[in-house]
This record gives sequence, C-alpha cells and structure tokens, in this order.
Amino acid sequence: MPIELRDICKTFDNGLKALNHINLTIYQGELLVLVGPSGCGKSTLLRLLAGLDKPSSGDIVFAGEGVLNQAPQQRNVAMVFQNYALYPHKSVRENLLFPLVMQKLDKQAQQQRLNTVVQLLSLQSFLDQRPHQLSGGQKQRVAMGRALVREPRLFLLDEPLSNLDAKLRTQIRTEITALQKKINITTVYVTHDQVEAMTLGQRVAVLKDGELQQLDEPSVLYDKPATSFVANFIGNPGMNLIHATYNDQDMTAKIGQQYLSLKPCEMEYGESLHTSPGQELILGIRPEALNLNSKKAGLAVKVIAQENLGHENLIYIQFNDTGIQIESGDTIVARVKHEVQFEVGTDVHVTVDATKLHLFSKNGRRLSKL
Amino acid sequence: MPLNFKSNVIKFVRYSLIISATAIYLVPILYMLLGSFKPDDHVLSGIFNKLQYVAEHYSLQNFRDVFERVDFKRYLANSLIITGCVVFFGLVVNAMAGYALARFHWQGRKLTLTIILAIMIIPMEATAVPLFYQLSILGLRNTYVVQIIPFIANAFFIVLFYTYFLSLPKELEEAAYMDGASPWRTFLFIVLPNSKPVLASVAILSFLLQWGNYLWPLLMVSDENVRPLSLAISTFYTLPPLQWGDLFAFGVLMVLPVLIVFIVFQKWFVQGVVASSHKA
Amino acid sequence: MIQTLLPKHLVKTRTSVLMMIPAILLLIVFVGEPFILSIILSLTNLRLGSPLPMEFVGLQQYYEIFSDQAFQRAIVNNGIFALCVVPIQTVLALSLALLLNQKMYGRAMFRMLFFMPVIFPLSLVAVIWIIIFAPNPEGLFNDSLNALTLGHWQARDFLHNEYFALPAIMLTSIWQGVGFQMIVFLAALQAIPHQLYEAASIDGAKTWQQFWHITLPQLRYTVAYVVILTTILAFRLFDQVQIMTQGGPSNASTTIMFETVKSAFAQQQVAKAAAMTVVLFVIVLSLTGLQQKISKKVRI
Repeated sequence: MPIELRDICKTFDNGLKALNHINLTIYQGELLVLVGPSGCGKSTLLRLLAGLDKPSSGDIVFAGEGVLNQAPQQRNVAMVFQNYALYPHKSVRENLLFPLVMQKLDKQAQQQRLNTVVQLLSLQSFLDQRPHQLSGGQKQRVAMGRALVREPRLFLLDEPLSNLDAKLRTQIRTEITALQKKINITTVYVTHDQVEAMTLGQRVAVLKDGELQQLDEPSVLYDKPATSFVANFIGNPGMNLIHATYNDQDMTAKIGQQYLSLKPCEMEYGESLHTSPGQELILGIRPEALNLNSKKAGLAVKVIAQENLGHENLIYIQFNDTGIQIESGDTIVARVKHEVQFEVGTDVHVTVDATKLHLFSKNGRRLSKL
Repeated sequence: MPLNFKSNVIKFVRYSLIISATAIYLVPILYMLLGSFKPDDHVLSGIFNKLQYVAEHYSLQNFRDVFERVDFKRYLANSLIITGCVVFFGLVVNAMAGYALARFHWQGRKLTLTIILAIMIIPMEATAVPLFYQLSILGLRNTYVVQIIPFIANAFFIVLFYTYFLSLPKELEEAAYMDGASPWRTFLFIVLPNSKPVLASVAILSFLLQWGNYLWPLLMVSDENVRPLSLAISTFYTLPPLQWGDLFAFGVLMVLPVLIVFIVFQKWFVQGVVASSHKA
Repeated sequence: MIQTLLPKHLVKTRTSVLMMIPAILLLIVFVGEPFILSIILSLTNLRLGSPLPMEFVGLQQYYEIFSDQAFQRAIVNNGIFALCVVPIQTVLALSLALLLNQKMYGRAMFRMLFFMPVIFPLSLVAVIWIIIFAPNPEGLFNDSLNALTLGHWQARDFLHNEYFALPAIMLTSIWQGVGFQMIVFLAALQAIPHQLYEAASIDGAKTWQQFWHITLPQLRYTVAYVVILTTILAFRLFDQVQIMTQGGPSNASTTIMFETVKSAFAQQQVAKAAAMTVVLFVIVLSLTGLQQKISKKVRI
C-alpha cells in the first residue's frame, strides 16, 4: 500500500513558495528520509502528509485513496514533533493513552496497546512521571510511544534528534532503525543532517528550495549524485565543484588557464559532452579523489589551510588563477592520509583520477547517458 | 569591620522603617478589628484611653447585634453567588473568546481584535446610565441576573487570555489533533490545563473587581434580598441606630472570607495583579 | 503573527463562531450599545418625567454642563485629586517596594499586609475611614493629630468641612491603593537583572547613583502604567464620595461621576448625565492615549 504525493505544490499566504511540483512515492514498510537545508520544504511536506496543512495543488493518495479532505484525526497518521509536544499536565501513561481515549477504544484494548508500546520502547520505569521530569532521550521515546500506540499506517518524525546531544543522537538513531525494522511501519523521517539521512534511510529524498533533487538509496546518492547540489550536500566534507569549460579538440576541461584531461569515451558523461562542444561545465571531485604532490604533476594550486583530524588531514587549496569559480565554497578540499602534510602557503600540484570525476551542466544537472 | 557595621546599621534602619510603616499602615485595620469587639461607646474612646485595652470589656456582642439587625448571611450569600457566577462564567466566556482570537482563522478576526482593544478603554461608568434605564424598563432591577450578566464579558480579560494563548506552542494543539481530538476537546483538555497562570490571574482580578462593585448595585438594587455586601455595608451605616462597634463587626465579617481566600492563594493574587500590568 | 494561528482547514468556522459568540453578544449588548446610546443621548434633551418631547439639541448639553458650577467644581476636584493622589501614592508605593526588595525575613508577610486593603471593598474602606474621621476629639484621626501636636489640635469634622473633605477622601484612597501599586513595583524591581547592579558597582556607582541610572530607567514603563492607571481611577472616583461626603459640603468634594449619578437619578436628567459620562470617557481616552505615546517614546 504505497503512499503517493502527486504533483504537490504549496504556496503560503505570504507568497512563499514552499513546494514546487513534488512527486514522491513511499513504499509500504520503508524508512524514507527527507533531507535538505533549512527552508527546503521538508517539514512542510511532512505536515502535508500529516494533514496539518493543505497543499495548494496536487494530490495525496494513501493506498489508492485520496486523503486531501481527511482531517489528521481521520488519516491514521502519527507524528513525532521536533519538540516532542508531550502534554505537560499529563503523566507519561496518560500521554500514551490520550490518543486511545480520543478514539474511544475500550479499556482492555487501551491497556493492551499501552503495554505493547511500553515494552517496545522500555518506558516502564517512568510511566507515572510528568514530561518535565524526564531527560531528553526519555521524552523522545515517550513521543514515539504516543505516536505508535495508535498503530498508524504512517509514522512521521520531524527532526526528532536535533534537540539531543551528539552521543545520545547516535544511540537513539540506531534504536530508531531497529525499531522501524522490527515493527515494519512505513516511516518518513525529516532531518537537515545528511549523516543522519545516509545512515538511517533506506531511501533518501534530497530537497532544495521546494524541489526534489534526487530520491535514491544512500549509496546511489553518494556515487551518482543527480545534481551538483546533491553532490555537495552529501558527504562530509561535500564534493568539490569547480566551473570549467569543455574543450572538444583535446578532450580537456579548461579550468582557468589550466587543463584537466577527461576521458569521455570511458565515462558515462561522454555522450553528452560530445553533443555540445565548448559548453560550460561544473566538475565534481570528491575530496578523497584528489592527490596532492610536490612533483609538479597535475594542476598548480596553493595550500591555504590544513586541518589535522588525527586519522586523516584535510587540506584546503586554491588555484592561483583568480578567475576560477568554485561552486562549493571558497576553497577546494582534499582529503589525505595523516602522514601527508604541507606547509600553508606552499605551491603544490594536484592530480585527479578522471574516472572519479562527476560532470554537471552549468545549471547543476548531471551529465549522463542520454 | 567598619563595613560590616555599616551594613548592619543599614539593615537595622531598613527593618525599622518597614516595621513602623507597616504599623502605621495597619492602624485602620487594627482599629476595625479591635473596635468590633468593644462595646459601642468605647469604640471612640481615644487612642490613649486605657479603658479600651481592658480585655474584660471585649465581647462578641457586636457580632451578635449585626446578625440580629440585618440578614448578614443573606448579604454574604448574595455576594458569593453574584461574584462566583461572574468569575466562573467570565472565565468560560472570556477564555473561549481569547482562544478563538488567538488560534482560529475566521473572517473579521483582526477587526474584532481591534474593537475589543478599543472597548477596553471604556470605563464601566460610561455605560452605567443608559444600561440602568434600559434594564429598569425591562423590570430587571433587584435581581441576581442584572448584577451578573453585564459583567461576564470583559474586554481586558479577553486580551489577557489572548496574549497568553499566543505564547503557548501550537505544537501541543497540533499533536492533539493528530491524536484525534476535536478543537473543543483540545481546548478543554489540552489548552486550558496548561493555562493555569492566566486562569488564576483572571479569576482573581475578576473576583476583586466584582466583590467590591458598588456603583452598579447602588443603582440597581433596593431590595435587601439580593443586596451584596459591598452595598450592604453602606446601607447598614445609614441604618439607625448608628453603632460604631456593630459597623466594625460588619466589616470584619465582610472581609473575613475574602481574607482567608487571599492568605491561602496569596501567590495567585500577586501574580494576577502583576499580569494586569504586563499587558500594558 | 499569523504563525500562531492553527492551519485554516483544521477548525470549522462554526466552531470559531460558537466560541466567540457569547463574548461578542455580551459586549455588544452591555458595552457597545449603551456606550453609543450614551453619545446619542448626550445630544438630546431627554429628561424623564418631562412633559416635553425629546429632541436633538446638538452640543447644547455640553454647553450646559460646562457652565454648571457643580460640574465645573467636579472636574476641578477630580483634577486636584489626581494631582495629589497620584504622586503621593506612587512615591509611597515605590519607596515601600524598594524597602521590601531585599532578601529579608518575612518579606512575603509584609507584602501580604500591605496588599490587604486592596481586597477590602471600597465601600468598606469608606465606612472605616468615616469612623476614623469621627468629629469628636476621641475620633482616631483627631486624637492622633492631637497627640502629634502635643495637645494643640482642635477637633474637626473633616468630612463636613469644605477644606478637609476632599483631602480626607484622598487619604482614604491612598491608603487603599498603595498596596496594589506596591505589588506592581515590587515585581518590576525584581525583574531587573542583578548583573546590571553588579556591573554598576564595579564601575564605581554608589547606591543612589545606581538607583538613578539603573532602577528608575528600568521602571519607566511600569511607572508610566501605574501613573496613568491611577490617574484614570482618580477621574472615575465615586464610591468614597457617595458614602463619605455626598459631594459636599456645597460641592467641595463632588466628582464627575457623582454629578452624573445625581443628574441621572436625583434630577432625572438623562441627557445631562449622558453628556457627563462622555466627557469622562474622553478624559480617560486621552489619558490612555498619553500612556501609549509615553510608552513608545521611552522605547529607545
């Protein structure tokens, strides 16, 4: 029973266009992550699924049935809010029972559901406490419990880990993954943290400015980013993006005054390249694909800064050519083994394995087989 | 060493000031309290007259006199009923209005809000005269209803509720909707239980306002069966024979229930008063 | 601002209407309509029991009341009352609040004691002070003044004396009102962050300077609010006058509201009374507007 978002657009009263022709299908039992920077529309999308907002146009279909006219109460969708939204005046037990009381479930069924959820999330020890007495992690579990006690067909989580400290975050992340697999509930998870997205999601949807950039499994997002935005967004540090022009005669990319040879015949981007010679490109190179050397092999750059992370180093370099436009920031990042060190300010050279290049058109679309 | 001495002197001066200020300030209250136990001719016996401090003259006679001369219980009951109703229905009506203004979309919401803010300025006195005539013509003088209904809706309290509800995170209400609650149930079971501060403030302020309301009962009530305490004290004053002791006893009786409530709910009283100043 | 509203489709219009209706109806019937009627009536010559038909006379009523000696006196009295009571009460309340604004034993108790008169109905307070102002030498006030002046005080009947009547009412009102203001000031004082004082003392400011440069500026809004509120109440003065002096002797202590009630009920002059309440409203409106202006100006 898939859940479909069909051509969803949402413009707010103040003119803000939050979502722009979103098409998305969520499969039964999967954990789909919506990720993107602030303002990309991911929370808006979640709220549309919940029924807390209505789209300006488009349709939302649950298992073939349009739900646009159904109130949240009717959709059997449950949500964990970013700030948990636990009822402060009720005990944990009462919080968990509230949705069941609203549904007018009989006492026995209520107790049964309550026990299931308590077991599932280990809530026994603080059932009679009030939310303000609980730690962040505990509140989180109660919020999930309140959502799951309704046995919903869709489970929504709105940045549930953003209020927790780093250590707790990783711990609860694994708990959530295990939980979702165990009860096999269709889940949509919203986060701005791409690490979270990559580790949690079975599929990940990357959103930017209200548009769906790419929806794929994490590994595909990493290996074959569909847009330059995705390429830079995923990964830490993200992919370097450099503007260049394609030179058809010698099959090179002209970066400033320097040339980088491409291998269009071997790479999937080959065909697109040939069809439009002289076009402007964006070259994408992952930090780990850059090889720095002092032997004058490759492109000439200067070391701007260096970060020693213990197990590896990050070296920030820049072309001496001031005309080169770097899309991904002020500098290019190279990831090297921790033995490799350079003095800041030195001139070095960098080589790139052409097979590890990602090519994008000037407006960010991936160049691939036509 | 001198520093310590100086601060102690300051402390001493401070305490002395406070205690003397309090003592002087409380004289009227003490006067009333003592006077209620004294025989009538001793009440006005000068502050240095030793006679008045002789305990054997003290008695509960004045209190008995009050009950004999007038139906005090009736007056108390009237005040309680009237004030209680105004406070209770006021909470309901004003809270609902404040909530609808704070949370719901409806046509004319902004306009209504502006008008209510404007109405806040209109003092009760500006409407008393026409209301008096209109309600008298309707034959509503000397009823409970006429002392209750006009005071239930209060623009100022609506604004207090409005401001408070705005400050509540609306996620709580959204969570309730997701849990299957209707707007009414959300309001009753989720919003109100989390609005105790404003409910207390409004209840207290409303109580204070209504308990001492004098002008309105003066205009609308001549029958002592529905006369509230605030009016009763002044009619008792004009009731011959004029006996100071009895008057003081009446005052003590009148203030006792409120005083007890006040001492118990002190914190809320203070909060209510402060809340009214914050809105400004 | 719209962000605080719930999504539109979640709540039916019917629910919103049902929630608003009681308050709106009551406000229209008991505030809106009478108020408008007041204004309309003030433009007529309505006098109950008069054989003549009612007719519109424009601003005639206003000319009349402003030429009425009693009403003129009333406005003056209200003004004097405000000019005296507001500063005295405010300074007293502020002083008390400053005294109490320390960690000290029994602060809550003192606070409660000062606040007590506020919960006394004004009518009761009036009666108590009538007794205090008793004209015989044994009356509390006379006796105390006698003691203070070491026997040189002549007992007076304050409430029936044209010079002492209004001041007597002022004293009564101040006594009743100080507690309320004090609580407001105390809360405001406690809201001033401690660090400001600490920073100031490090900067070398003495106690008085700290008061002048930190405490007072921080209290600006509160003082403005309290002053305006008390002033407005000063113009609405009624209860004490009705009970203690009935406006006398010879209008020495009459007020706008007292004249209004007198016109409406003793004299059946409905239109005249309506005009007076409109005047009162205009005064209150101006004062409120003044407060809004001050609040905005103070916000730097």
